[in-house]
Amino acid sequence: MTKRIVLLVVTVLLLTAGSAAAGVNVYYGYNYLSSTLPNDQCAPYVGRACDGYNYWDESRIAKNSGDVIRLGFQDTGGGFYYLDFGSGYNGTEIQLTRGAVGAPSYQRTYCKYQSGNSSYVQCKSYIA
Amino acid sequence: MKRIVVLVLAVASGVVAATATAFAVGGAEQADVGGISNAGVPVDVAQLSPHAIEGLQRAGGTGTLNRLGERAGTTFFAGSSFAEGRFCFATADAGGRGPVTFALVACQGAEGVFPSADAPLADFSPRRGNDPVNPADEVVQILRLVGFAADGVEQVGVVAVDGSVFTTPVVNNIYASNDVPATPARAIVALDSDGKTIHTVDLVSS
Repeated sequence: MTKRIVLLVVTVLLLTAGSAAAGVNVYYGYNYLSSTLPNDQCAPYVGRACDGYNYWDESRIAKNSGDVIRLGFQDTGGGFYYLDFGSGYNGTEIQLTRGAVGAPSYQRTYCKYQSGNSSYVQCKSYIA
Repeated sequence: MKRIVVLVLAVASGVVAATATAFAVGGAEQADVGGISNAGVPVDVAQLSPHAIEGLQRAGGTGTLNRLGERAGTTFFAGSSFAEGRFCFATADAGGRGPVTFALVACQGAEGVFPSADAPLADFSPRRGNDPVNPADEVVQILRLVGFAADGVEQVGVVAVDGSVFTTPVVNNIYASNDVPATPARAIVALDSDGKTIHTVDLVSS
């Protein structure tokens, strides 16, 4: 009886945890985005972090501090689809679908330092 | 055994209740969406997909969400942020069927200043560019105009590199256009009733 109860509880917990984290990939942070950081996460760019190419549905960033950052997607031909967010969005998490910025279905997500003070962030990708 | 089942159900129902409480409101706190004169229409939680509710919660939305209107295929929503007096913004495809899924969710934090003379636009117009290593080489195109505007902004425009200006009217504090010329742009501007530029969002390094 006890084993069944434990199994039930563990199953419920695993299902809950699985659904909450499904499809989210943290590719940078928490760390600073600045004019020099990261310096090797998305070569050849400095101050930029990116995920691998995939069929990402959303590009997300939790922005704790700092000034302007850029959030979006990069296609395989060198085109970038993005929005900029300043200090007015500190303390929040921003999410963009690829449709919101007109990015193609196959791309990679990215976040980057844009201007002003460095931002303390966590950058994430999501697939439904 | 019964105690454990009751506990699991209580936890599960608590999560559902908390979610419903957080986002089923709307009309009673409509005044919180003030600062722009279009208070919109309260949105019931049943109209939102679970993913949309989670996104709004993650972003920092706290209780209200109102539908401000629809323009050029985009539905605009505004609500209250966890930061007192600040806004959450969301957009969705107006042609979507079933529960609403957001294209964009962004909430202002304590440093948010929209709507004000310093920030009369909450602009979410998608940019496409080369985003080069050297900012001086940047080339940007505005794919669509999409955003929220404070009272007093009558038009929003895209200033092309060649100096030409494409404008679209602001109606009920929202603007959108799918007809932006496919040319390199240098700024997005807010214009008053006299056509005077009252705010500029630079798109490239000057």
